[in-house]
Amino acid sequence: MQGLRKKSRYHIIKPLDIIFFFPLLFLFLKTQEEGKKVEIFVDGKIKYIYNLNDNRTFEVEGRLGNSIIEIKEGKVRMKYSPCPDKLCMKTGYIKNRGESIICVPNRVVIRIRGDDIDGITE
Amino acid sequence: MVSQNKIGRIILLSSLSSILYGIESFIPKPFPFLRIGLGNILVLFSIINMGITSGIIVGVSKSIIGGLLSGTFLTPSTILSITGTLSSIVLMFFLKNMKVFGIIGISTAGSIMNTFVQVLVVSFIFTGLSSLIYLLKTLLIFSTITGVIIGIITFYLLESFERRKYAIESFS
Repeated sequence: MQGLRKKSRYHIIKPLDIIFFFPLLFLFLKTQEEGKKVEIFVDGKIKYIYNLNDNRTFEVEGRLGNSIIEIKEGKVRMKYSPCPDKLCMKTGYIKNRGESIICVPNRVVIRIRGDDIDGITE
Repeated sequence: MVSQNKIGRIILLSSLSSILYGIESFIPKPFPFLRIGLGNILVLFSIINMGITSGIIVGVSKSIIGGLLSGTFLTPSTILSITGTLSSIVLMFFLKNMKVFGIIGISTAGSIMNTFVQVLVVSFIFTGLSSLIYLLKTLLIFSTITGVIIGIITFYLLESFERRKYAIESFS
């Protein structure tokens, strides 16, 4: 029975195997991409496009009334909204590409995109 | 000349692999493409143990018979399955012959290759690539995990097979 404990000729893992785990790292780095522009949609139609770096506060007229949107230091938030549940205000600041604030009752959508046209905007 | 022993082994491996592929489709999953690919254990086993020809036979028959079992034969998923399996078989065979990678590495590479080829085929046939880029992240994480799982299972399968073969040879 001694022969049954023969050394296996297969190796479960070798140092070079780490190459195949590199793609994962690459994707984790790529996820945190900051946006460049803010798009504001009202009733599904694009209304304003602003740079994320310009500080400004402005009003947008929706279904129920005026929403106040604030852009500050590369971040954007819904400062005030006339909607009943205030979900859009609770979202807080967003800054990464592809993120969005959606206010359904007032039909206002804020979305961030990069400089180029990408999959989100199509 | 192919020995009868080898033919028997190929048939056994193909049928086991098809059954695993078919049974797997009964497991509930959030998206149809997030499958573990248990049938690939036997494909990897046959590549390492018997060579690329057997691997291709097992892989293709897995896609066809498994598709018949799970009711997806001649749907787009058969094309995806066959192209993904073939490309990853060729890649895994080359990696195996380089002799610098362990079984987990070979399996992970095959799994990632499978995913990439499937995404490419989907984007060529059905939609543009842009809508799939956001899916690619999830798919890549998932295929790495399944690659590692399948590598571990295949390693223990190969080892137990080898031990049993040695025992039979030494006692007869």
